Amino acid sequence: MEITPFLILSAGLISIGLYGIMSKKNLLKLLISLDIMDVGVNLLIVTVGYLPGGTAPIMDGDYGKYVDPLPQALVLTAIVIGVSVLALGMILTIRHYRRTGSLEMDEGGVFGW
Amino acid sequence: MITWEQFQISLAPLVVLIPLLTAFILALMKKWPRVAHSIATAVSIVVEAMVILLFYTVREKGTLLYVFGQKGATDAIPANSIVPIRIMFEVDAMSAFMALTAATVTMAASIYSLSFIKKHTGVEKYSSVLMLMLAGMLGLVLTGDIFNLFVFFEILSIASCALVAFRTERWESGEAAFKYMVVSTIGGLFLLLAVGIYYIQYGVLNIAAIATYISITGATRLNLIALAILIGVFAMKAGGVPMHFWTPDAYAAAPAPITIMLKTASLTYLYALFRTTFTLYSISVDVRTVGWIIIIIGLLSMLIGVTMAIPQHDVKRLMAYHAISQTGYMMIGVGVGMATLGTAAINTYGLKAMEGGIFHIINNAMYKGLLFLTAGALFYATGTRDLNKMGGLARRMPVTTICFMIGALAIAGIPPFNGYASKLLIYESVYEFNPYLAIIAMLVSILTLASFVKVFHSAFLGPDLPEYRKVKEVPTSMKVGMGVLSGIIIAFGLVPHLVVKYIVEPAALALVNQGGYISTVLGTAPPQAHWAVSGGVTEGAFFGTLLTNSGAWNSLLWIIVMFVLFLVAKFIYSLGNPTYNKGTEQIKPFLSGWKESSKSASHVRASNLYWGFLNSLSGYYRPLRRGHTGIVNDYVGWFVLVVSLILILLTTLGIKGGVI
Repeated sequence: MEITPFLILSAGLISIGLYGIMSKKNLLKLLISLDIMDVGVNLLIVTVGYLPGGTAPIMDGDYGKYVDPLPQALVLTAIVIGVSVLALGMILTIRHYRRTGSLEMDEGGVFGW
Repeated sequence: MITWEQFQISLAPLVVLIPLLTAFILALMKKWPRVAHSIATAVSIVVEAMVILLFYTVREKGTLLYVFGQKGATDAIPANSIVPIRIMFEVDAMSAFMALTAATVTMAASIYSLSFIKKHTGVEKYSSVLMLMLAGMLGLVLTGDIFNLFVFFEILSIASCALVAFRTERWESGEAAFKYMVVSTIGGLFLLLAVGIYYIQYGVLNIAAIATYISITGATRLNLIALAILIGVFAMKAGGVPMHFWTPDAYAAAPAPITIMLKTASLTYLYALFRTTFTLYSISVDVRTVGWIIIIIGLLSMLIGVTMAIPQHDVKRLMAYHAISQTGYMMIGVGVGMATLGTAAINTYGLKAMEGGIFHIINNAMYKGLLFLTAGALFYATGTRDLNKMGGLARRMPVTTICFMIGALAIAGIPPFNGYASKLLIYESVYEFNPYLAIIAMLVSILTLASFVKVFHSAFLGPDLPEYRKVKEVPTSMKVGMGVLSGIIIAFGLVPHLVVKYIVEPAALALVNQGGYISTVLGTAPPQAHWAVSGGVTEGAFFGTLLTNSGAWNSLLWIIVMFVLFLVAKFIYSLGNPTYNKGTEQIKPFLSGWKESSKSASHVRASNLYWGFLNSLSGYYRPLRRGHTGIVNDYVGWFVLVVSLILILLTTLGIKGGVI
């Protein structure tokens, strides 16, 4: 299996996420964009550790090519961090909604400078 | 049985582990919130003691290495491998210096919090997350593994974000926390991308190993992309203009002790920026380009930070903009060091500029911390942060007033306080590099003084306002928190040469010495052409002199001269003939022939103080006001723009032998 499509996919996900973060005022959409970008970065790191035709890194005698396990461990950590950020963002969003009755950023009272 | 040597080696992981463990225990103590915070304070004092011991050990024994999961913890590379694969803490003098800064500020913040957050609920959660922040900061500066750095970056970001949102009853805390979360998550994701880029190329995550590979392969395009991302991320988290917009929002919304923690956290991100440029890349890229990128970010931070501070009337927003502007000094000092790396100039003025920048880090943490704490005291006493509503508080809060004066004089660089010593080092060495930079730095210092005169005038001076008749001085623990920082400021100001010699100079030399950092882990180092020798910054013993580049500074001499001048002035004054009769109409003040109006009507409020200055500069302020939209989408947009600009600069000029 080639890895190029996955690289393109991850670049696409990062770009979509970044676009969302830079253009959406809705807090939920912002959080979703952050998550899409998170997925993109994670996919990139898993992809570069993947070896076409490789097996799980269990060294039981006749192993040949095996996939690098480290990127997967890294991504696991990154996923956990992403989930905790998302939880925090959700709490803040809920509070914002309770206070203003809206999910839009501008409703509350932006402080500019 | 653990020997003393083993304990010394284990200090680095212990100072991270103890607060981390405390954080999770404290979260369970819902029934005893007061006890929880007392425990947190005790732990922060213990950690401070351990960090001082750690610093002493590093000074004594050189760079310290702790490899996780390995008995003996000395061999960095396992027997059946050729690269370091385990996570390790590598503590050189620079890391230990930053750990010292972080632990000291945390100690002051938690002592101050003892009474500051008494009225709030959820104190045990507050202390728990405070400990998490301490663990994050110490881990970030002590780690020698780039993925580990990412993890601590996120721990610190999430903990900070939770504490920014601590004041749930105020609307701005939620909004500031959300912005902070978006900005730091973007930063974290880009950092992870950079980590991924290194792993793609080299298959290692150890900073020293990556640095070796980069010095062998040179700056490839992928490496330049990673460098641009890292500079952008860390400069944003340190509050560099034009990615600073989140800073005043978050600093103003957080409770004062948390604001100083956030400020120190941003200094640790600044450390990460320096670690990246000096240790990972060093002379593998064109140092003049990278140095100038840091200098330009620093220059913008200084100028825009201070000019944005002057019109503010929220005391904490004003101070937050000053925090940005002071970060600029550090960036300029260390940026000049980066730009002269590998040339002969590093020994004449480059290293001194770096010493000034690094000295400014600890000075800034102390006086900025003190100022934010006095702002917190004002808020505690009056219930408002608006300078326009304050006045005459010096009568009610003498201790806070004195602490504020110490902090304000230190930040404005008035001798003999600590800010003067580090700024003098920066001015005199940066002048040699580029005179305009030094002149702008001095101008910024004057504007800083101007805006603190505004705060002092509008909050502390002026008539006794009726609404603050019942205001009392703040409780003891808050005074102690401010007193600790004031004491350090005065001590550092009186003996700056000793501080530079024993604390700052080792840190600057460690930062320059990429080969030393690598060889601690790998045993051998790639050939280096730029060992900086000790700058010889001091002469004399306890009453010694700090040698700046072209001058010298001796605070004790200065005080003696000032005292003698005071006596002379007093003498001349006594020669005069007072034809001034007390108790007559002669002493009554009048304005244009009219009797002075009542005292409380003549208080010039904060926003009216510099209206002429601001009015004549309205052409400058209009675009700035339009730029500070307060919308989080724009914050991210600026970050992406800056990273792209840095990337363009690096790829056109940054490959070694470029044109600049």
